Amino acid sequence: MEITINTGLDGFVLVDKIHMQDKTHIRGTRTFTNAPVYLGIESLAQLGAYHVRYLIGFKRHAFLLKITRCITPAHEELNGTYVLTGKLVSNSASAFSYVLQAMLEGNIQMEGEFLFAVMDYDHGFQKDILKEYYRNLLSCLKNDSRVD
Amino acid sequence: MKEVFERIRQMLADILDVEGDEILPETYIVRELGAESIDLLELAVSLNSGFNVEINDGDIFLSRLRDYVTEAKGKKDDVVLYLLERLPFLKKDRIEEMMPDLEDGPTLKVKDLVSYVEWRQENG
Repeated sequence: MEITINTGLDGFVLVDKIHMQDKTHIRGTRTFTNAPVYLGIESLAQLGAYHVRYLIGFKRHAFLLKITRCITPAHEELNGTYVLTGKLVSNSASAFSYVLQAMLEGNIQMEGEFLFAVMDYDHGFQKDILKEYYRNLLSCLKNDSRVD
Repeated sequence: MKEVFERIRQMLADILDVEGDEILPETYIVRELGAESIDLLELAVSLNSGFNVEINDGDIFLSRLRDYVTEAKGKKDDVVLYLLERLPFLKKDRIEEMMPDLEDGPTLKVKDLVSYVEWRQENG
């Protein structure tokens, strides 16, 4: 059975470019046009997950486990180019806690604490597919290539 | 021991939303406090930031305890000595205490987290 999910988006990569990353920080950008706030939350989650995958060398599957807190803008839609930043604040072998922010014209629009976990690839999250997919995706985002 | 325990007690109370006085060194974390895997992952990052020590989730939460016991029995090794090598933050008497307790469910207690943190603080 085929299931079609219409997100209303051209693709589901919600980070346009990654400008820098090191062992504890990552910074990227995303331009939104009349986008609902929840897509901004998803952008932050994707940025954090990219950093986790980068840290672990794509050896395990990374996923968002919990948003401990998140402040969102009062207005209902996101418009403009947002600078997305992530700071790793603590981690264990299997869990990574970040403070993630979205800034517009120097002002913090969204900020939250996001907890990510990693697990071994398995039948549902297949190593052969996901490892190369995310490695290539991260490479494209760093090199400013199209990633749709 | 006391300071580390008190801080861990507060972390557990916050994450599990239970009263601090319900949490004692002998309290079972899964059996009695109802901690789930997501809670343990959250606790792991809290322990990392709170004590600035490296946290190996598999070790501190005794995730492989039963695997180790099976391995030791398969190799006909002394189970307690086998576990002491792989979980060096646990004392011999604690491991001996765990053995008859394994069949009743997850044996992880609050005092095991304290032992792990103190061992990390001493050994890096």
